[in-house]
Amino acid sequence: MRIHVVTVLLAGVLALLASTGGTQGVRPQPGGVIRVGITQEILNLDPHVATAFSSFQVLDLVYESLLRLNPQTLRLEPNLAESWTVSPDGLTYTFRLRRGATFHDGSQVDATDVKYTIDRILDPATKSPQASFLEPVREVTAVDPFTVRITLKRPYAPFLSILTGPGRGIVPVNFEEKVRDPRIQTLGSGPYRLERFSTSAVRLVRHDRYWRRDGGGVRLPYADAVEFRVIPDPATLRAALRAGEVDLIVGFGVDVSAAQALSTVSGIRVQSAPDLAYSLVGIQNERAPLNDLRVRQALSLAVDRAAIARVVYSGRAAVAGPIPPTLEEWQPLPPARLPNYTPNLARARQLVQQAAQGRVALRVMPIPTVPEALQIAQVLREQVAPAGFAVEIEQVDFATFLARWRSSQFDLFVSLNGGSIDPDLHLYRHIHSTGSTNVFKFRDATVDALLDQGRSTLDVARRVRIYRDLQVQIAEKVPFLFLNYADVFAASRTQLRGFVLSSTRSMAPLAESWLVR
Amino acid sequence: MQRYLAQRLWQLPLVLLSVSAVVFSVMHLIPGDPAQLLLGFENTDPVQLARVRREFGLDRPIPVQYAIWLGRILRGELGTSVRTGRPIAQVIAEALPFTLELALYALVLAVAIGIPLGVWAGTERSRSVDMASQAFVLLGLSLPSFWVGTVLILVFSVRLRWFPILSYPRLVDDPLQNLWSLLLPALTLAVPNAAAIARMVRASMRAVRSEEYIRVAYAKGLTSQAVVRRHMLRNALVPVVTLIGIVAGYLLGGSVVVEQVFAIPGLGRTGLQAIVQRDYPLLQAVVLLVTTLFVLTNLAVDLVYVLLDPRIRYA
Repeated sequence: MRIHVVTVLLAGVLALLASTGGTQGVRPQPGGVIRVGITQEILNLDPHVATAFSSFQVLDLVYESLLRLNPQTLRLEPNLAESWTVSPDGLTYTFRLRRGATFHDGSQVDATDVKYTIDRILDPATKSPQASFLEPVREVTAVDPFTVRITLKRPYAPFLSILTGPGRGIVPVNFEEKVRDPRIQTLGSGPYRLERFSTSAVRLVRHDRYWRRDGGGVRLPYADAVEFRVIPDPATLRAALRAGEVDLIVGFGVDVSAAQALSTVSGIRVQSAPDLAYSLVGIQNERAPLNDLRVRQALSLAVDRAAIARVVYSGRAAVAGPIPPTLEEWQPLPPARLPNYTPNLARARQLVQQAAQGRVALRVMPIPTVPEALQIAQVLREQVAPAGFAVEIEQVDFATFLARWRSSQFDLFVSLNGGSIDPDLHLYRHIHSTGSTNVFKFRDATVDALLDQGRSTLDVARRVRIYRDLQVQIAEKVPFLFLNYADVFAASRTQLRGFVLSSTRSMAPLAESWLVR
Repeated sequence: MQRYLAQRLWQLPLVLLSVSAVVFSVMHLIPGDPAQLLLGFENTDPVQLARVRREFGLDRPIPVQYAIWLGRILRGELGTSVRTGRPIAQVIAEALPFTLELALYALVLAVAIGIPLGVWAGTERSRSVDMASQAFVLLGLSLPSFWVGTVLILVFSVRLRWFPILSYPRLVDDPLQNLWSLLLPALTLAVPNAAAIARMVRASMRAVRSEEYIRVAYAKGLTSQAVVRRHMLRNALVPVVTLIGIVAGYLLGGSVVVEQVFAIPGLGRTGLQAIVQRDYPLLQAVVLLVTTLFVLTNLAVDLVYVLLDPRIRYA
């Protein structure tokens, strides 16, 4: 009888071991080199100056900021700051820094480094595109080595969301003197440090004293090195993955059709996540007849967003309004509840007839760097024709697109806008009359007021109500057409484990990835 | 001969001057602002834009910009890239070896394929041989290189795994591996040129075949191999050398597509990126270099004529 109990116990222990082994898969194996294929050249590695997406893919692993965006939940988490408090008036933020975080040269990350970083971003001589995000900062004070106080000029709800990502990455005091040329040399506190740089290939090696550990207490990162290789042609990039010459490609290079083709290849794993970025039809709101609200509403009613999602994105895209559908805590309204979102050609035709005599001739300029933009423009042309729009597609190169976009020289354009986890960062600069990227020349007092309230209100429940009103206002007044939030894809060799694709396309999960060998 | 050489070399600066002026004005005629491209899509601060424009002299009138650039070039300064801020001399020094090697490699392959094929098609009297060579010529000339390159990668790198896709070791580090890994791109570049050379060789072999002196050579009792090599080929080669000169020039400047498909960080890709990013000084440097190489190749071809045909002399 006693023997029997022991066997049962043993069997139980074995089953338990087997089950934990089963849920965790293979135990992380340290070592190895993870090779990532990207399509865009890596131009600049200065975290506060870089603008190219490819630069940030590398910088995700090299620099860290005070907070971190959990790649899966998209929630804010402690990072170099262990904890923080916000004063009741929303003007003073106090951060407790983590002890034991070090830069790649071995020196401790402390409060003076945080002050130096924010001052560097705000210094006009740095020419940082990040400066406008930190404009509300009045002063940064190093209270003691591990306490930083940041005071703001006015309450600024998205402030904590801004303190994430490599663009606001913490650099050591006298960074520029220490690295000589920050465009091609780095000094951060992230899981990897730069070993070799050229515009077509970058090699990072592990930061041996990186602070973060996995659930089992093992020091991260697992892999010895991460290499980024630039392969400009997407077909070659995918061939390289199939031939086993790269382990991972994310986003650009794996569109929906490529993802479908790769998902049937043995040895390759395809992941997807809903994007925060959205496709849009930009509208020049000051140009006749688009300055007439009825014409803009007619355009919105004539477009069948669900059909675009089906035709262009093979159904792997969500129809949604001004708030990304993934950000459920901000209560994005479903399309059926947004004005002018349900296609209605008869109503659209009626509005066009009221507003204009004859057909409305418009030119649409698709952005050349996003292949889907041209397809969207083609579908758009067909969809809106019955309502009385004669749309002509005008293809230009990227520099031309940018110049015309900047100076609002367009009727319509089709492009992709990067998204954000905070509705203020997602909408303000595009839609507020003083917004830095309001190339649409949209001006509306009610919308401005709601955007300003959303920015200065810290109470989350009240902010949710403000943005709910704003969603309806935007759909009603049509500054431009929000179309789809498409899925983003990643394809990897099955040997690569632990990489979970994020909506932000972040490479940060590579710190917790390893290769089965 | 020396006077001729001096005269030809004199023309080089004139050619370079006019080419650079044309490129400079065309680049500034098309829309696009390098300062905005440098600052990125969403950075719209007018103060920062003005600062970048001033830093790179982009706020000056175009003729003044050209004059300043010309002055620097005459002092041997290529300047720095607007896009990356790196010295242009360094950017080019990194890219040029790949392009030079690729062009030379492709040229050797094109000649090695094109001339025997042309000779064979031009001397063999069987219809099927001629048909086969004509088919190669037609396909080689009409298949676009981005397609040929992608198919070669899929067959030989992905399916058969004979060639690596991305690792191009430097020639000095590992010559054999280097030649092996560059074989597919070089072949892609060589195919249309081999076809053009084969067609030209075949046509001139046929023209020479009916000449009197060929009949005399046969009458002397020479073997047909000797007739072909000593009498036909040598005479047929003069127009072919002209073509090879043009091909060489084309290869030096025209490997943009192949460099893109095979991810080779060469001069073609550098030039393409410079156009896309409106990196004026970098593009000017690339164009100057390619023009110089083109002019020098043509000069070399003219000198080779003398070796091939003693009747040609330059006084």
